[in-house]
Amino acid sequence: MKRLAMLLSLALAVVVLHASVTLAADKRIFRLEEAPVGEIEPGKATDFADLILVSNIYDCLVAPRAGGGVQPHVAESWTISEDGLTYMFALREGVKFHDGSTMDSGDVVFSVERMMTMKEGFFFLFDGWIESWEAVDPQTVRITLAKRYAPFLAALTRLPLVNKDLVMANLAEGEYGELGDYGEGYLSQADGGSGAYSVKSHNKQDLTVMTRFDDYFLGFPEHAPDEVRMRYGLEDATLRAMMSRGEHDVSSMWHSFPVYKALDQLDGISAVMEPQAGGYYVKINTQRPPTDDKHLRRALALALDYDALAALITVKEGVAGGTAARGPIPASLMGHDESLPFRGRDIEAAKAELAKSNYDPETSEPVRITSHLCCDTHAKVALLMAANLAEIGVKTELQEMPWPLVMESAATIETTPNLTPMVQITSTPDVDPLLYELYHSSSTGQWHNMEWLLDDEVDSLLAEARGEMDEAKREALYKQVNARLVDLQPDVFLFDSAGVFAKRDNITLPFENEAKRTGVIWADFNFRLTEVR
Amino acid sequence: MGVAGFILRRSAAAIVVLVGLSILIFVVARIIPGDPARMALGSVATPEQVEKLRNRLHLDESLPIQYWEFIKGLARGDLGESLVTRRSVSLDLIDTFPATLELVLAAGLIMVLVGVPLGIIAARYRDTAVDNVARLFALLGVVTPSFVWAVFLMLLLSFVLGLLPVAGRLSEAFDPPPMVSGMYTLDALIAGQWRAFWDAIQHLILPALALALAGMGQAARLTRTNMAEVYGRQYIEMARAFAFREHEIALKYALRPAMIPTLTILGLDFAVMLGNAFLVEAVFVWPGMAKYGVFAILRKDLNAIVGTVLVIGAMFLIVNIIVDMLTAYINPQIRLGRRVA
Repeated sequence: MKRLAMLLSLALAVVVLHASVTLAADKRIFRLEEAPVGEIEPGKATDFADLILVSNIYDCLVAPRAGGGVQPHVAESWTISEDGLTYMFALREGVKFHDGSTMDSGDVVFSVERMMTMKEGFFFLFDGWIESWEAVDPQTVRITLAKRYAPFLAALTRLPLVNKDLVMANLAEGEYGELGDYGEGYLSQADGGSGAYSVKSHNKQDLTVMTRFDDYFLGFPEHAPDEVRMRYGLEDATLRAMMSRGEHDVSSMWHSFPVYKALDQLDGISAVMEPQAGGYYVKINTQRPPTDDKHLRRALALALDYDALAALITVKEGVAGGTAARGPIPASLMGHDESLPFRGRDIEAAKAELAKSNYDPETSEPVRITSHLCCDTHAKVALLMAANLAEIGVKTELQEMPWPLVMESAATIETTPNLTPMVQITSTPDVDPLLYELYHSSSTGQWHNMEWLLDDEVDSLLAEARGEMDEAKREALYKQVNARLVDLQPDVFLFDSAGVFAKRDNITLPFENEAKRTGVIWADFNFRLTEVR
Repeated sequence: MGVAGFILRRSAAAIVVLVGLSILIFVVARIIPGDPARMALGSVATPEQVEKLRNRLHLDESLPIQYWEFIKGLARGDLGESLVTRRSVSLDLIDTFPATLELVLAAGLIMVLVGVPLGIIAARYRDTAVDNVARLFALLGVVTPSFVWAVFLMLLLSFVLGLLPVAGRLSEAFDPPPMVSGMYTLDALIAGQWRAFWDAIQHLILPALALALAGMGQAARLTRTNMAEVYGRQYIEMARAFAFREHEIALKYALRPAMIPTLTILGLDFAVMLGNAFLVEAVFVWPGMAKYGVFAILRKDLNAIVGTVLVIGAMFLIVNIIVDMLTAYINPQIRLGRRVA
């Protein structure tokens, strides 16, 4: 009897303690998931998780604008010289860093210098373009370019502004002379930003906790979260259990589509879609036989069953991992051509193109299709392609590779597979980085340029568009690029890409509201504009 | 040779094993396919950035020179920098090891406190329904992988019944207790944070149970088998003839000799759990060293791979030494044999 009483007391204590814990959690908490690891060092951040973190912890001179392009942010205005080389930025007054200090032009200049010296992260967007930078007065910064660079303002969305004094007070031994490690060690664990959220704790492989910065210069809407918890790499079963119990709010976009379908069936959880400024491409190695033949490439594109492919990435009506594409440039970016038809399957036309090619099923090398192991969708797409190509008599060889080997295989023409399904999204709110990475000859040898197009006309048009400051003329140039690419068929343009996420119904993500949607994933996960009800 | 000599001799042998292990893992880590510098810098890094990092990490040097650099760092207690977290691997291990140790200790406790009594009961009531049920339970534990248990237990106890939290080490309402050992349960106790302690215990139950079930089944089966064999010996018959009480016979005369092989296997299981905890840590979002180690392998984080393997290796050796000492303590033949020698 005594034992029974003890057990009952213990059980009661458990219930009471459990209840008290539940009562303690009365903050608006927003919990999202991304793939590990999460990098918060602003000079190094490049992956999705990093960019979501950094864009909420740091501010930039400009920010992505809903609907495309950029808008004033820390810079409330700017002027561009007649020759397009000198940019004068007028800084907003009263922007505070998380330590309470006020941002001025010294911090901006320091941030530019830091990026140009460390040469990491998105340095490549500025490499060779920025010639000099100076603080004209505490509220004005002048940046001079070596050459005209039309995507410069968009690139500035990838130049986070850091707190100079804080960084200088936390230098450690390093490779930058008297600047030591340039604060790299410190900023990898703590934050030196002015963004809407500040870092409370950070474990790159598991969890980053951020709290609302009440002095943020743009203020907070009514339902903005007080605390944000970003978890890394939840297993499917864990995600399902946590979301159904209300212990987690939003999934990453890296789960398989059947997982989103299953989550969408649960009460209080919905699958949602974020249209992105990028494409789902099947990259074709245009230099390696047998896909060095333009007619064979066209035959491949015509043979694919786009409806079956669409079914693979569809969760429900209106929610899918992409929408029908008309060409290499997605609908949300400059140069997209609405007059082009959606791609569709046409077996007879595919056979006709194949007949024009030099492909011989008896003697030609099989078409090697490689998918990377990160997402089972790519493997399914590869299988479907192999089946479709068999119908027109093209031999294929399937191979799956871990991501590191895919990256390595892109190093030479000989090692790059013939076909590789891949999603590619622009690095800034401008079409320039997407097209340069995909097709310009200077980008070959890297995973994003497995096409090895090496086409002088495309190179020249892309370079010309970079230097063209007139928007209309620039758009015309990109349309020419678009037409040339459709003709050369260096990719199968499967879909304009979209991210699919599962979320609890009490959460409204910024991209669900068209007036807030930018198509740029890190900006579409603006915590401040997320509503937690 | 006394206990001190025994420990010294085993420690010296352990150091030799660790040096061999460090060379082996150092070489193996470097022949895994993939360029570590490229993987560390991500997909948008330029070839110049990759080259710069390769130089900084001495990756262009020969293997012996790279190993020498590593040993020089190790002598200073520096395991090098992680390519993924960009921090000292030593610091990463200090952060992650206590979580895994806490998990493994809890699993070890379950393994012993449930597995061994289950074996004793099965042996005591062998060939009865109780024995059959216990054996079935033990068999299920052994043949079912930890990650399957992890998902099953999570779905049953968290998703369906809602009795225990799904993941993590603490609820969102709590901040981690001030770090002393890095084990939240212990640190919460030290800090007198009772609610945090109870919350940490609740979070620990499912992953520890999932991790323990295989070893628990193993312990039950071994204990049963060994005790059944001991029960057949004459001195047990004699004890019964002298009307010793049955639980006294079981715990005092049958269990002790039966525990020697069980203890050896339990020791090995305990050490193996340190490395095998990965899937359980992944399912329960447990920020431990096993998960850290597997991420390190997947991303070819050279220093982190070597550091993790060395820590697991060291723990393996330490546990072995402890098991040897316990075995000597339990078995008078070993103790007396050593004294005679």
